Amino acid sequence: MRFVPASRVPRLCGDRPPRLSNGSFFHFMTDRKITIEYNDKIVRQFLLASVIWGAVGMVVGMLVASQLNYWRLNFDLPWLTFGRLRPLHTNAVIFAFVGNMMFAGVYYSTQRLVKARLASDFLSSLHFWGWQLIIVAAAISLPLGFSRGKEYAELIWPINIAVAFIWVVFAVNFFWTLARRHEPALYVAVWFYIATIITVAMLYIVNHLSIPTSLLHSYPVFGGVQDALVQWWYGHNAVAFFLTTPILGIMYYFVPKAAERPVYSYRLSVIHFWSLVFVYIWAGPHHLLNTSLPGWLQALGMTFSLMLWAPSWGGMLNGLLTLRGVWHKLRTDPVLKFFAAAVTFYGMATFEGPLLSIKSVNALAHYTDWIIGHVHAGALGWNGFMAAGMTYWLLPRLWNKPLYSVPLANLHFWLGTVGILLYVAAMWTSGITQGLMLNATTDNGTILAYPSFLDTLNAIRPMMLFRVVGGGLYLVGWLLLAYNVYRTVKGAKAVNGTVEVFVTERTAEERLGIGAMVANPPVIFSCFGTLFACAWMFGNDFTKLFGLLGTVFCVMLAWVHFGSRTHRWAAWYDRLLLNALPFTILTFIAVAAGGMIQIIPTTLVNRAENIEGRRAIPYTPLELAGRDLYIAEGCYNCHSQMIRTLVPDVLRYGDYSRLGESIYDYPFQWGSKRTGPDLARVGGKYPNLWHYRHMLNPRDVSPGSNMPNYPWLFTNKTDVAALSSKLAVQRLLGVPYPEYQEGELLLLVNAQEKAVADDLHAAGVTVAPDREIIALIAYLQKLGKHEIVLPLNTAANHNRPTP
Amino acid sequence: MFRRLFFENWVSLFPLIALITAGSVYLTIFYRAVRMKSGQIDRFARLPFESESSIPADESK
Repeated sequence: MRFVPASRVPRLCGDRPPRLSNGSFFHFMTDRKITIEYNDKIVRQFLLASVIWGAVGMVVGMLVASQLNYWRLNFDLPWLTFGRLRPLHTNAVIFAFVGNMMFAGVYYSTQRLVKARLASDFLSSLHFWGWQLIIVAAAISLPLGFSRGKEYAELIWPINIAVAFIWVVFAVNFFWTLARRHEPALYVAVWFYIATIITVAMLYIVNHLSIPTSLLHSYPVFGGVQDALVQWWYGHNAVAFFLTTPILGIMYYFVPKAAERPVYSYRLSVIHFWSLVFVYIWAGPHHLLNTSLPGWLQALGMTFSLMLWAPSWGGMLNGLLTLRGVWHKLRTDPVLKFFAAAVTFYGMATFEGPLLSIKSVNALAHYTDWIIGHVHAGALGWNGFMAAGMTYWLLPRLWNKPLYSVPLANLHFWLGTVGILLYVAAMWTSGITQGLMLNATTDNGTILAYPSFLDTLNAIRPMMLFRVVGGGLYLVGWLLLAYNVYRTVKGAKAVNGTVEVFVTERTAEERLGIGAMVANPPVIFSCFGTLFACAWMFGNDFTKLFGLLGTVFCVMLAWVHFGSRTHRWAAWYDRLLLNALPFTILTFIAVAAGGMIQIIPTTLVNRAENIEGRRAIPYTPLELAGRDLYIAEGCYNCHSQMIRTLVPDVLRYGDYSRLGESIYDYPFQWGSKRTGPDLARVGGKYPNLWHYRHMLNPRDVSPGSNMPNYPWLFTNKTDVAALSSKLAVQRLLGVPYPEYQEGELLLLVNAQEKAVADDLHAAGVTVAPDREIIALIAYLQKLGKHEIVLPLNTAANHNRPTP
Repeated sequence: MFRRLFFENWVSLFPLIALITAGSVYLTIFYRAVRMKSGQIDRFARLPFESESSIPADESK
């Protein structure tokens, strides 16, 4: 082993080794030169899986979009209804299509960026087959109605554990590979991958914390507003850290490769990364604007969403400007076409997202198709086109054979582009139309202009049909890609990439241990500054003053120290870029801060015992069984249970929803889309007979409705046996259920079943009391019932239930 | 006290706090990125461009 000046280091990638800020140019190197064969088999596997699952997800998407136009396509079969298939579509596209594509891109680029083969072939295979098994389990369990009732988090708890396990396998394989790398510097794409791995793990685990009631069912540990906040912290950041950051990493690797020139501005990519990972995590509450979520959270969510414009557009411009000087290639190169369009759609979607987060815009757009259009501009345009571009670029390199047909790839591009534009334009028009109609009033804002919800639904039917046409074009384009892949791969011999590297060992100067990471001016000043700022913001009179003075002192001291010891600050950052573990820890702190500040106060304060005003009355055991049916059928996909603090909402559905009214809801069911009306106060609005007829055939009582029929609810028996363990878990979660004596629970359930069945019988229909429809009606009739809790200092809790 | 603090008195301050927090992060990273040495930047930017060859894969592995 010898010490080699950098000038004599063989130029592995045509440039010199990293220079530390203290001027060091040296690496500890050996004379040993080794050849590395990359594990490209795993890349091929994930790539092909992505093509297949992408087609499956899009076919299901076409079906559910068609069901909205033609209710008969639900076929009166439970496992083919919209409420069960829509979660299958979203999960398939997110986790199966984009997930597999992301793993392919991450594994291909990481190996080359760090000049190391993936650490373990076994872990790589376990990752691939485990992920496919999870997808198959989801594809079976969701249509069967096994659901947690939370969007993009529907999978039942055994599958959740499998997902967490396989994600850990991915993380171990990835970080182990980084530890064995031959390239000391971490390229910005690897930063994005690191942020993805740790943030998705954090989000997924927290949002899926559940207590099982059986092998296939569980209740989340958060309820009501807490669950809403945690869910959309997860839901929003699933978009951010599953659909965005890994794809940005892929963009920073594959776009320069395809354009054959470095990224436009590496400096901008640094700003893009840190500002994005820090800001993105705070924006989740913008999914809950104008609801009963505390105002300070809504304000934070909206403000941080607006600030996302800067990093998002910084990244988008960086991606597009990387194509400087090669724009002429777009005429002939389908890969660059897809990449350029994908980055453009990223820019469009990230402009639209903050726009939709402005409270007044959100009042119009939320619960409408505008949001669906926004999501699909990202999913089809950004994710789908990046996947297509990456696939076309990788195919010749992984199978050592030219692409079967470039014209077919170009045709795919144009079909996909026209498809997206049709889809998005239709959804914009549909969403704005329905939003305007739902919010329209007459007589100085005292009467709804369109009091019938169905009028607003039927007004957008043509746009919903256009959506199917647009989606169909996109699907045809994807099938062309699948055919192109098949013809390219057929008869081709797979190849693995190889590279020759010198074995290097990093010097002590380059290494940064955990202790050195923490004991550094930037970290120390940041920690003290944050502590003082928290004391200033949240403390009482003395602490507040102490915090304010401490914050000012800390900032001044940091400034002076930075001025006199600039090189120490710079050296710390330079070493951070060469050390994966400290980098990962700091990234974790950056992403965890936002979630902690939003979630911890909410879980501590917004509890049932602190509620003043309206508080939910716990569901009876039969109503709870009915609620679980509501969740299993995926009713939340079309119906909200949240009347917003907006005049049109109140005029249409009744008094606005209070925070306490869903405090015992495990999980919350506020919803995110209104294909049907809000149900927060539907209890008592209609007689039992109306619900009976509505569930049997919605068009009997609501002509023009597109809701499916639910005939099986009239033949299936309510699962009363499961109630005992369900109530035990609810009790554990804090819902005030009494301990029932032997047989008491059954008597209680039977009595309420009989009351509902007798009422129906008196109205002219006969149904056995033990059928699921009885439980569901009992639940629907409970919605909106609450008790009044007076403020603690006003009365000694003269609680009284509402009539 | 805790509950009232969040619901009432401080609502109007939170957008400002958010702006200052995010602005500080932007400015810090912007400064750091601008101060990075051009040699270091060039090297990082060229990391994807390694020359590689390929060999037939043994798919049985």
